[in-house]
Amino acid sequence: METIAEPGTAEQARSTAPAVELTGISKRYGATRALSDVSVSIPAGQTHGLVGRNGAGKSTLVRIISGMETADTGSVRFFGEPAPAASAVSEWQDIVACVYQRPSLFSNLTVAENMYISRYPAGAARGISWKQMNRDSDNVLQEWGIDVSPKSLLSEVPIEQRQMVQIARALDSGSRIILLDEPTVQLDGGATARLFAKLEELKQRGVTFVLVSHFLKEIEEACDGATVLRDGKLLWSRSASKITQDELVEAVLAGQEKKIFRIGAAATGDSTVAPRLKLDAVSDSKGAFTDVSLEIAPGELVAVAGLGGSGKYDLGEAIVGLRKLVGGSVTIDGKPFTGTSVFDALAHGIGYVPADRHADGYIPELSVDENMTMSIMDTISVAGFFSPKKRKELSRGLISDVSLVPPNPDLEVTGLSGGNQQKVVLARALARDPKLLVLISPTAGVDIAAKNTIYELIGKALERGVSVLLISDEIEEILISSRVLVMTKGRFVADLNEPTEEEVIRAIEGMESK
Amino acid sequence: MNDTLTKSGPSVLGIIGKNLRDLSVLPGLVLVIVVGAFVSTTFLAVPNLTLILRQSAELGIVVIGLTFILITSKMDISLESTVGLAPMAAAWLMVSPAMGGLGTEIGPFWGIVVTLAIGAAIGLINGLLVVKAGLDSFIVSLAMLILLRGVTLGISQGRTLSSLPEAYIYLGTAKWAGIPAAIWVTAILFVAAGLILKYNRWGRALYAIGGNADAARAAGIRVDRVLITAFVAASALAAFAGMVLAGRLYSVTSGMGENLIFSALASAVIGGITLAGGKGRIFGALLGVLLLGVLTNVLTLAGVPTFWINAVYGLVILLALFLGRFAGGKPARS
Repeated sequence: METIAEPGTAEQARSTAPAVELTGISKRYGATRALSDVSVSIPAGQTHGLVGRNGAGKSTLVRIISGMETADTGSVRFFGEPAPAASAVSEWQDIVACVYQRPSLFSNLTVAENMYISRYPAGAARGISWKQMNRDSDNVLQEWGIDVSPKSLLSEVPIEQRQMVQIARALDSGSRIILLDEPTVQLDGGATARLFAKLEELKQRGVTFVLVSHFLKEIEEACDGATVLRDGKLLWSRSASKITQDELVEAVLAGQEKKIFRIGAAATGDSTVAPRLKLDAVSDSKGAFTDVSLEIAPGELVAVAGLGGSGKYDLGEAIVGLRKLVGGSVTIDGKPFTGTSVFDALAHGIGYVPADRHADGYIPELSVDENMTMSIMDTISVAGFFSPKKRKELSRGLISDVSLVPPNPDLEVTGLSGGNQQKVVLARALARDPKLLVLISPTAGVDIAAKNTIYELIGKALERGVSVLLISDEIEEILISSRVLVMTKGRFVADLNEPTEEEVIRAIEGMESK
Repeated sequence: MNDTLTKSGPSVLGIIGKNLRDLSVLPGLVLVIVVGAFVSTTFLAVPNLTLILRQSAELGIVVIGLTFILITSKMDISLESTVGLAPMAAAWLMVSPAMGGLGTEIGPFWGIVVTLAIGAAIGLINGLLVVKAGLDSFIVSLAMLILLRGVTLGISQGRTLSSLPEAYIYLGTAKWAGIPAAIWVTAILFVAAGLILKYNRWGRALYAIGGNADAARAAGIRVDRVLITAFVAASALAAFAGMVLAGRLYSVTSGMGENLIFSALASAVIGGITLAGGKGRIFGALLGVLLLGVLTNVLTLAGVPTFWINAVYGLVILLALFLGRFAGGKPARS
């Protein structure tokens, strides 16, 4: 449904037309409505923020603007002209470029090669002319004031500069609209400031940026306007006036009046009981967190929130023995734990659900029963040999405990839905009757039904006196806990009791509480 | 994703397909046997069949060890040099100086101990270099292949050591119930390996590591330890194969085991053991070994000119892989 520009007026329109104009964009994936009727207008030469929680539709919108997906309905116009046909990928890329979270660059090649990889300049005898390539790329980098040597290997260039290389490549191929997807996740404060200073400079020269970020403070500081999405719908979009961080927090929260669903009672504060888990000033060898202290009582649930890169995942991995600690001590029920592997952690009664089930959770080629019982094989083996019958019996018990659908122990895990894959991983953590569960984002990418089952299972474990450390990116998940610790740059900065969503977001973003 | 709507698990077709992958060697094997029967009347005679099995025994034992390693998605091509070095070192210590020995003249029992210990030690070194030093297993084992072959040549001075003690070559020469002991032993080892890979924690851990090493670690499997023991087991098996081979040859030659790894890799991969790890069964590898054994025999019986045997051999391996690719539905590599 693309509107056709009237000929003759195109030139005229270009001067005032918005860089990006989306009208009535809708997109479905199967039964899921990713975007419905979203209209956004982004003036040329501005930096525009794109805000929303996980699953609000930001990435779908980014994919539609960058031409990687076609909207079901609605139109996309750039500088007043209809977007190229969906098939004309390279034409589209000449208008809009996307700089991803994980840079799509080759770290083993030089800066110049990265810029010209798809269009090497030909030299004598049709070979590659390195001389010309280095000269060309030097020209482009200088033209845009980007201080990188074309001959250096990309792996030797700082991360924020790598993003600049990507931007330079895009500018060189004519793109004047650049999408930045969470560009600062891996950057420290100084690098972030340098990146934004550069963006500001390029903006003055007419480049339009669309910035997707979880860091609301960045949106406030760097953007001239913003669009807030919620559940695939447009909440508001502004480009004329400055936006404040308070407004953004409010917008992200809007419509969230629903009751917070908490599981597990607040800690009784009974000091006569030894803590189940006690961290005493622990630091990790890579500096992801420093001097972290924490106590969890038996049967207590504690959640840890924080932005990406805050060190919260590293903390969880360290407790289960996957990271080397360089200081402090970990005690379980008063006994020191110095294990260096999940094997040791299991022996000390720690169950573990890793952050990314695809990367670390299950073995795709193996069956449900084998994945579930992997951590308790020693209990059903004699001299290393086990009875498959016994394993199947055990796994049938676990399958019914976690209400796996379908309840078939012989399936390969890859054949299950995301929610059920996660139940398999949780079942494995529960199989050994742990005293402490370390759960990292246990409901990430999981549907509502499975999410509720998982929360129920956590609740039941708490009732049995199991302690739970829940580490997550999703506020909704964090809020199931009465006690929420907030981590920033490897340290706990807040210890909240029954907080509201706003209190958690403010603590995470480092804002004053109201 | 919806909880009630699960993607199709392994369907009936999927299960057949999976087993076909192992059995995809069968048509090829049958074909070679049929061709063999036409080529020569002696082919199907019991002595010839026994000969084929006897000649495949050493390859089979090496393939068992190699399978352990391939399932974890690692590689060890130095196994063929271990086949040569371990019995050579033992023979060097056993035989008299007049026959090229060192002069220690240790007994056959200690000879066997030395053989297996050297195998285990080589596996330990390979394992530590791969696991603890983080080196690539292909390159480590390539270097070890050259190094161990060099040591074998060095201690033997290129000579063949013979007059080995009876007891040392017993398994390679004796017959049990009219069938060479080496065939019995190899069969027992295959059965044991099959049981270990299916019903043993260590065996299942090999699959878990090959499937997703990070997930295996997060599930509490001691990945490093399992990997190192897999290298140790494979090299000890290779050393044992060398001892059995020494029995067949009544001597230890300095070139023993040379090029064996190519047949071993071909057997394993034809049999459905993927280089990417996490998949494959020992039965498939056994069929792969048999295919190559029968093939060599048929090519000889058919009177294929000696200089052309390797070319035909290679061609048939390619055909077998090709066949497996379509029977299994997926490339044997991935």
